[in-house]
Amino acid sequence: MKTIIVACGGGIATSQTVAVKLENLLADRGLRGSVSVEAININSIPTYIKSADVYVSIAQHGEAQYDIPTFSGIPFLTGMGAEDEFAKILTALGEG
Amino acid sequence: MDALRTVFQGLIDLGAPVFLAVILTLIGITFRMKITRAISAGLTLGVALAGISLVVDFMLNNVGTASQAFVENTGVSLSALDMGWPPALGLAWGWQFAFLMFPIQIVVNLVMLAMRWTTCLNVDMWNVGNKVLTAFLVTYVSDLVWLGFAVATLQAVAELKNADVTRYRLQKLTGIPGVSMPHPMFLTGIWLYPFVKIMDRVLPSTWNIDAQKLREKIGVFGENHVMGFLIGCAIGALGGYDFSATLTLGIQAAAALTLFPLVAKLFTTALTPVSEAATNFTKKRFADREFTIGLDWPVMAGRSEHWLLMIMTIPVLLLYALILPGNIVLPFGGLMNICLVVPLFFFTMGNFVKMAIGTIIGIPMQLYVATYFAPYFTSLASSSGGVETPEGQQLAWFGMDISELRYIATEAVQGSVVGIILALVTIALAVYYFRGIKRDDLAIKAELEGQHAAPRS
Repeated sequence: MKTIIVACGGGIATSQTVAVKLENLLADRGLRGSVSVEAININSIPTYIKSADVYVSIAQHGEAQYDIPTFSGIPFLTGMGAEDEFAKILTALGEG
Repeated sequence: MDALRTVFQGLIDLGAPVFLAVILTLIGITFRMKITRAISAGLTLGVALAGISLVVDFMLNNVGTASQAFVENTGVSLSALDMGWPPALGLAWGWQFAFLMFPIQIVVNLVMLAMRWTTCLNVDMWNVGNKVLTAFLVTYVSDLVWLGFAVATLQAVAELKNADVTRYRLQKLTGIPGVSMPHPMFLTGIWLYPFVKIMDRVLPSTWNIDAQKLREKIGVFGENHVMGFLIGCAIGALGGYDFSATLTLGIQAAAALTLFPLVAKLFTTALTPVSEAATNFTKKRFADREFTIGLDWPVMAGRSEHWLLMIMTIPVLLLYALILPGNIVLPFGGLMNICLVVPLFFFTMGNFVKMAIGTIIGIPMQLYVATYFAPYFTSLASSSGGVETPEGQQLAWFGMDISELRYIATEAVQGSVVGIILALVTIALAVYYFRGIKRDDLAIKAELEGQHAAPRS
């Protein structure tokens, strides 16, 4: 089981919106069972980052750098460039 | 018509979770979602509301009880327990007219796009709940549902206008082009703007700090379980609990703060498919137009200044709560003061010193507004969540978005002199704000374009 984390201010609204969209895209490719997506509070990243494979960020600007592959969550919110970003995420997960 | 009313009333009588589940399923079907997915979304919404009630109840049973012991033990009368934004906005969805806000927001956005009054397409559906809450508060005092929705519609319009006049500011702060923020909390700019202008005059902008480094040291206090444990232990100790009971309360308080987001995210899970359908519906109608996409505030959340300041001002907040005469709110769920710190970040361009001064000045107002609205939230929790608060205990929301504007609006619709005067002042300030912030934004735009143009020449 691979894990994607998405973080925002509370782990409730923005990050969960992105998480739901990622889950739907994963489900479309039959990957729902092999990749889990978790929306978390941005202050909890240091706790979750150790067990995650990919970090999808809503707010890369000014953010600390982490050791795992990091992608932008913005395309999933605006709808523009979502397919491309998702393809990159799949490649990073070794599912591409 | 009567038959329709009977059906509607019958649905409401089933209780908020069932009612919500049915309504969202119907909305999903209207937007041509697959029936199974629509039902799934509807059920998830019902589950979210039931879940929120459960966690608020849990919080009242342990932290609430301890806070009463704290009141008896210390004589400091903090009888309203702050639940923070996840339950407060969650419960707002349970209000019986909440779902009218969906079509209203979509129609307001469509009309404003069609008339070219805005370029913002708002895709942030979570914060529809924030307009529901405004409608609820105004309806609660006026008993007029139409008036509640009229004020909420005004809020929706103001949010879109505000997103338009701050988009380049946002682009400069985040580096993301083509987005804007129609979040209500940035309407706090109307009252903040003159203060920020004064601070810009008297404080050198070089007074700043390296927030990133400091945050790495104390960031752990911004995690819900750590924050909850500490505040729980503090309440227990001051309530005269013995050692083991104090630690147990710490764990329970940590559990409440950890569980709130886990449950509240179910609202997002339920609403996202409908939000997608509504967005596609709007986009199709304006296929040839260029939009800015209206997002929620966390696109700025990567910066450390927010979190550092929120954590650092928790002790200040608690001290204020203890010493301010007339305050009855015990801050708990809303310890992280997002709705003041984030607008300050936005309007000072992330200057930590100015943000800190603004926060320390602003907290008392927020506490008094939270005190003012405590009976409203206690009633909302009961009517939409079935949460019965014990005698002498109330629920509150400290750090509510646009606290000042909601207070002014609810006072003004009741025709109070203070409310009307403040409403007139707000209108004058709004004119000043929108002119000034638009001018600032065009200056930022010119600066950004200068940067882009430079490498080419």
